[in-house]
Amino acid sequence: MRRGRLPVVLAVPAALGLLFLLLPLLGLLARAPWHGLPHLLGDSTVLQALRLSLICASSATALSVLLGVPLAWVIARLRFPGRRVLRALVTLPLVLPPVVGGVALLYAFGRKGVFGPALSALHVDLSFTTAGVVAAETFVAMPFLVVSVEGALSSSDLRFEEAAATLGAGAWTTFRRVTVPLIGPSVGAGAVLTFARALGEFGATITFAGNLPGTTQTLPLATYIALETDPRSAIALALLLLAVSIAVLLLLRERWLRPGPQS
Amino acid sequence: MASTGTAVVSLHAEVEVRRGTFTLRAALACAAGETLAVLGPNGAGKSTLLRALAGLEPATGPVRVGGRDVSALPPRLRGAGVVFQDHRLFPHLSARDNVAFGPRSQGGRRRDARAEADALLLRLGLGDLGARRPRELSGGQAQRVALARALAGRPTYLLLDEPLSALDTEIRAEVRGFLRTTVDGYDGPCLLVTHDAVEALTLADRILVLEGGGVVQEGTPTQVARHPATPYVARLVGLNFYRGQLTGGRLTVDSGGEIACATGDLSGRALATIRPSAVTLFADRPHGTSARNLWPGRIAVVEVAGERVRVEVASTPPVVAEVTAAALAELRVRPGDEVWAAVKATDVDVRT
Repeated sequence: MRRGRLPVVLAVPAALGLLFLLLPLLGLLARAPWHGLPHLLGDSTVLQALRLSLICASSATALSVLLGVPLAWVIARLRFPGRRVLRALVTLPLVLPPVVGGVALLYAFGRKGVFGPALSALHVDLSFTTAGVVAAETFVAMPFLVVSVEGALSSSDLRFEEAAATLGAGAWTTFRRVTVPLIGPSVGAGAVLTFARALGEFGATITFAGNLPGTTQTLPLATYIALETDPRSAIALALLLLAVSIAVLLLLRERWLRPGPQS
Repeated sequence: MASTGTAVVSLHAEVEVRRGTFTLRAALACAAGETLAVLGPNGAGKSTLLRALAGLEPATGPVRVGGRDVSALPPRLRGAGVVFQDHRLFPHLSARDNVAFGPRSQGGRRRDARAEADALLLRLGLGDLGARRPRELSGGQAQRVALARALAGRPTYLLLDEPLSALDTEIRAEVRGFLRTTVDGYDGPCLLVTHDAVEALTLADRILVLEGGGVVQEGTPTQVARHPATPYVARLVGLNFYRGQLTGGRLTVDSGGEIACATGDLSGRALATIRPSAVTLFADRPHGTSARNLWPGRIAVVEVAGERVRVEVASTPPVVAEVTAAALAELRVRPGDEVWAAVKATDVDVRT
């Protein structure tokens, strides 16, 4: 088909779709209290929530890289029965309603959860703590990293790993000195996506970690609460999150985040 | 020499690889210091054989390196130095660190490994390119770095998988020079996979011809070229070739005779090849031919291969001609008869 011609049957729904996606953002910008913005964002509750959000999202991203890259390697590189099932399980949080994730975390790692007593014995308390926020965010966001890295590993062939093996490199040396540098850009892209998802996490966090200002009240939670008490503040917070999202998109456009040249 | 300190051993293998409907079954032996060319058409199983010897392809049968069966060992413990067709240099490492990768992986200290890498790069004429990344190297340079990298691991045996085939013709000659020096200086067994007959003839001590997953012929370049076992070998390797001393456009053949070549001022040791189809036969001394090489001799052997007939003439130097059955019938000659073989100087392919 020749490019450039736009049939009406496609043009109308396409335009409607675009409007539907853009109008809410325009509404947000139109109602934004631009003059009071510095004052609203300077509020101590907001700053507290922002600080907590950044700390938790960064921790969740670090944790996801630490656990997710090896997990992606296992799924992509090893051949074992049940590999497909494992891959499906790993990606489940992507489609699972976050509140279900929160409930599941509560009954697994909460004080009365299946593994709660074991965690208590180790002096680890996840429910209604900042650590719980990190856990909830990691649960929801890590699949983004695993999927991104696993995709990179599966599409890159084994040529360089083979070459490393003939040079006497063991599995760990090959992983550290060959595989990781080659998939670095994908790990970066996955980490940015993971960070963005963790930063916006709401359902699992409020269910599992609660909504305690200073401890578990992250930016999305603060935004939701503010909507009932101080709508202007809620809009300001929403703008802040929107700015972060746009920054993430710009970061992902950068060249260093694209899969690198393979030869 | 890169392999100093490594015991010099020979390689004996009986490899069987099954992959779908394809089966490769090959036995080979390669002595220390010997270069064995594995020659064959695409899909013959050449690369599969090499990968099986390196441990990169699941295979059955023993692979003995100096009497020790390494077939159960993973690639990293086999001690094979592999040069891949597509060089496979690590794109994120400099040329120096690529070469140092083997020594480092084997537990060497970074400084020692880098020093060894620099020495090898220097030997391969790449002394000033150590800091470059693979993408900043030309194809020929990259393949030389890959050669250095394979040698730096101090391999007990060397496996070269079509090391020149990805290169342009002009660069190929340059890299072939380094390859020959390396192969000649290497004191372990060396396997060279190629589909280029001239590459096999110039670089190898012996040739193993693989077709359809099996060995169809094995022998010295002379044996294989003189008596090709299959039509493929005949077409590909059935070249007349002569080693000798080149001076002023004339090659003095080691085994006797002289060949006029269109080489200009080149001189030194050289290898000349002549396609059998470029040889014309005459029943009587021809007059008015422009061919500068004219050799009388008796017909030793006549072999019919389809439409074509291979005629071996016991001239000095000896030559194989390939003519059509009709042309031979016209000559009215039989084995034992005296004929004249004519070859144009421009049909003599010379490599120094």
